[in-house]
Amino acid sequence: MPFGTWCLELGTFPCVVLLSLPLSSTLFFFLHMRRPPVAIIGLGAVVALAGMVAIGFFTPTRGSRTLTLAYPSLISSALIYVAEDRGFFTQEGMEVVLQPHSVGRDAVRSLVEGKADAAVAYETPLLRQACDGKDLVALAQLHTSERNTGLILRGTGADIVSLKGKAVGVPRGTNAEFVLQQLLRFHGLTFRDIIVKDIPLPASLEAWEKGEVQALALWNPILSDAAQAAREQTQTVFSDVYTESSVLMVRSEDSARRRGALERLLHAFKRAERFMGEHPEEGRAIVQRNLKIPPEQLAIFWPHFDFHVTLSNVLMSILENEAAWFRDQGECPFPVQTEMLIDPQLLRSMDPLAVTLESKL
Amino acid sequence: MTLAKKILVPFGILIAIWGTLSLYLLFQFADRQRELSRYTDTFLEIHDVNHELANRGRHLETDLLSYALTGDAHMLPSIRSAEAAERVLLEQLSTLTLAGRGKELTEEYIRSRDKVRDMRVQAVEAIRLGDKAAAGFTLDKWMILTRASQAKSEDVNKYHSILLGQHVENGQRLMQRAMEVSTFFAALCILLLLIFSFYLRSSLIRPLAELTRQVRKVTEGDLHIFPAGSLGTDEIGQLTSSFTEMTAKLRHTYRSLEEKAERSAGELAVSQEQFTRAFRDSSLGMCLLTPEGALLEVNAALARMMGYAERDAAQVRPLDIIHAEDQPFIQEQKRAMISGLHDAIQVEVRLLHKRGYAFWALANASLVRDTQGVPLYFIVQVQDIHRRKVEEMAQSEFVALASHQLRTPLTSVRWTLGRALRTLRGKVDDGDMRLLEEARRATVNLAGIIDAMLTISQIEAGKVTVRMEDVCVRDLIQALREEFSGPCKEKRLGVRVDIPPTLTLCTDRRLLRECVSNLFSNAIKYTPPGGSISFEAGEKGSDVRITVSDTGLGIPMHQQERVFSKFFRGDNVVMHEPNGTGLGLYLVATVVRLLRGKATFRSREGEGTVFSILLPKEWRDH
Amino acid sequence: MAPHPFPFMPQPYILLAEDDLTIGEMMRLTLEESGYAVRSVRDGAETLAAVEERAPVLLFLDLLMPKKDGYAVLESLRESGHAFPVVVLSNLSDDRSRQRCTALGAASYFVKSNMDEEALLDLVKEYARRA
Repeated sequence: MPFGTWCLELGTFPCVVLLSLPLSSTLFFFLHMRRPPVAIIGLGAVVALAGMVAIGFFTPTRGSRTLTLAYPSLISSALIYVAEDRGFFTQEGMEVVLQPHSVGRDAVRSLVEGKADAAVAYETPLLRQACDGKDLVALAQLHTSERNTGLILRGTGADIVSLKGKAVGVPRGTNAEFVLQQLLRFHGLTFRDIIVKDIPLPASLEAWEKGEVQALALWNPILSDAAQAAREQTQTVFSDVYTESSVLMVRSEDSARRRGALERLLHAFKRAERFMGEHPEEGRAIVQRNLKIPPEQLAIFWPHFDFHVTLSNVLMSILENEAAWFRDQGECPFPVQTEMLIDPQLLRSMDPLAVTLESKL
Repeated sequence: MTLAKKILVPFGILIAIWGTLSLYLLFQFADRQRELSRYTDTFLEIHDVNHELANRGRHLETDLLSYALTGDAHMLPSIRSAEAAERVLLEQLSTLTLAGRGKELTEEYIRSRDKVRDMRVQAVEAIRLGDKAAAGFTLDKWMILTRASQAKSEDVNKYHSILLGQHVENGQRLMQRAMEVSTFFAALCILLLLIFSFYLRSSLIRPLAELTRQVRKVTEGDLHIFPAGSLGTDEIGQLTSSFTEMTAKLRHTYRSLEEKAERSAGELAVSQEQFTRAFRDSSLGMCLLTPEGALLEVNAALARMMGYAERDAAQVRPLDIIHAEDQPFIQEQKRAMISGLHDAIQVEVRLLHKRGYAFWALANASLVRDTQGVPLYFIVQVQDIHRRKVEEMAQSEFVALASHQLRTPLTSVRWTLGRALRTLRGKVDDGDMRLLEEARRATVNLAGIIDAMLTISQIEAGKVTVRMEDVCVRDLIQALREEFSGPCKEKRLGVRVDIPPTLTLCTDRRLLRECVSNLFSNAIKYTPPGGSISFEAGEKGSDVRITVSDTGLGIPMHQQERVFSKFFRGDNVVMHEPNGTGLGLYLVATVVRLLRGKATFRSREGEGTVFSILLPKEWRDH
Repeated sequence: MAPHPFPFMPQPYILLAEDDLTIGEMMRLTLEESGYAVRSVRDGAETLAAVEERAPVLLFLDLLMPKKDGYAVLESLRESGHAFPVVVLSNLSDDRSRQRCTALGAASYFVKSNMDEEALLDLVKEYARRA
């Protein structure tokens, strides 16, 4: 109802004035002319006008209400926890079924298999699936961090070079793999120079403790758990040139088909973002409650996280780097155009400022 | 509520609302514009600095790569200076404050540039040291960092340009909205004006139309207008209601006037009836004539008198039945009455009987005027006085003839004596001469007596009709003075006339002349030689007084009461002037009475006499 | 001018119309003594005949005369027209006579018994002057 919304856009005061004018003049008219038919017509027009405005105000946007969201239970999913905790999903008229996974890789797999409508994961699983020919599209970043995914090494002063020929544990198909690759590359090593052990996430810590691996490429809190669990000194190394993002993605066709629901989902995340900005302590408490991380531990990691619903060029450049890496590995059978992986339209229509991405879409 | 308020209040409201709205929009727009311009400046600065940083970055890239390839240490200074410049720019960038996400992105970018610089420094160091492997790795990292930094730079720029775009868009949208609002409001105003015109119609035009309708009705003579409902309390409404009230009052007044008129008409009809009957049944001949002299009505008596059948009488032209000789006089009398000289006259006139003979009639005519003084008609009453007149005339003819018969021998005697006096002068002695003179004077006396008697008899017979005209007193007396100049000169009497030349009175000229003439001749007769006679006249109220004074013998006191009686002569005068008639003053008294005046005198024996006659200035009919 | 014995001389004369012998004689004597040529007639018809014969310079006319009275004379004279003045000398003093005579063209009207015969001379002088 464009006229109604236009009226509202105008602001309350002018709207009231403009509406009151025909009303008052009609009443005046009525009083002086004493011509009921004309007065009734006038009054009817005013009522119609008011009705249009009301309808414009109250008509919600259509779309279905239920959505299954697969996500990793990590700090990076803070916005999800906040949105759920504060009831932003229901406020947007959405029924969001949360589907937690231990890693984003699994969440994406769930999406691809159709067990979820949307998934949140780091950018690497997205690329992986795309390289496998799956038609996925990212709608927004939900967090960024530069010191979350890293490598823990045994011994002080230990060098990455010393990992040559050693076993390194890393969940394949995650951004930890990419970080490991990057770190190795900066020291002149490749995966062939080390023994790569693809350990499922719950077993990673155990493996580390058992000493099965010399290093572990993972993210927090597991990374810091490992550091604590180690009997000897360890050091944690992060890549200088990597920024991780958790990305909300959907099947490509759903980005148009379920646009209404996705819009509302993003609205909810936006609200969570606003909440985080205004009440960061509370947000942290929510995350802490959901992940059961000791608060002092969370306090260490928390500053390295940036919770914003955006789409930036950084993501694009990381995706391009990762895509190049996949191609080099020969692990990308399907040609991937990284630009096609991101659909900024939805976010841009909601919040243009959030999309700093230069994209052809 | 007055008309002014009715019109001004809605206008006032409209203007107030319009003004408020316009001001609100104006302020909003001004606000946005201000923000926008501020933002544009900052953004342009950020953009410039970013651009500059990008340039520097590229230069540094090129320099570093060439240094890496050539190992030429001469590249180092330029690298260092470029780095210095880069630091300055980065500092500048960090000071450009725009709180919010833009600042976060900018800070992230600055951090990334720092990382790039650190990596570059490491690389330079590695190259300088000749550590090819380390150099290779560092350059590698440096490249990746540079790409990442570039991405962040792009983010910063894009973010700010979006922000700027949003502001511009907002501004444009505001403008558009303002225009839409204006258009909407203009349409609303037109609508309101239409409504207002309707309202005006009901408030102003309809009452005016109603008023006009009422006025027109009244102009056409229809006073039955009634209030057309409430027409408001403003001036127009008041005017209309006042007008309706006034008309209602007029209606009532008219009604009561009509009733009065009806009553008066009734009374008039009654009196008219009475008059008509009086007129019809009168034994006196009566008729009504128009001011032009046409016959309006004639009663049976007059018709009979004139010898006409009643129905024929109406056809008669009045002028035809008046004797030719009397017509001019009658016309003159008619004119005099119309002009207002007299209201009524009584004339003796000869009328022509149908059978052809003339008879004398006494006509009393009065002129009836309407309330404005316009002559309506003459009422004429006619009496047949033929027999009386004929008798009178016979009598007066007898008197005239008798006078004539008396006068003829008298003339002989007088002239003969006169001649004898002339021819026998010197031939006869003085005594005889004196006797002859006495005899002649006796004839003169006798002539006077005959004249006086003739006049008196006429007056007493009532035969004398007074012919009123405006008489200039002075002229009359001057004429008398001329006439009597001989005898005055003879007796060396001084005659003085002190009369304003404009003094006139309405009276019978001949009779007045007779009066004054008698007084004059008395004065001459009874004033010793060398005396003086003076005439005075003046207005006294509604009368004119004419005085004849002399320095004569006067009248003895004891005889003054008999002065105006017939044949009176004062003892004192008989001796001096044996030839008095004794009739003069009687004549004066009679004439003055006839002229409706009064004659008085004052006298002192041996000093003189003052005779005064008082005559009305205007002839009054009573 | 010396009195002329012959009454029919072609010279200006005054015509006297008066039926009373004495009065007529008086008038004639008075006028002739003053040197005027005078002709006396005794009735109206004679008056008119005399006028017809030769017009006088002045006519003194009495009213009451036999054959034709003064009024008739005046009427006749008026009809035929006359150049000389007519002075009516009568012993009738009433207004009617006076007015009638004036209406008929009389120059003036006098009552004989109220005047002296000398007045005749004054009248003649007056009308001579006027002529």
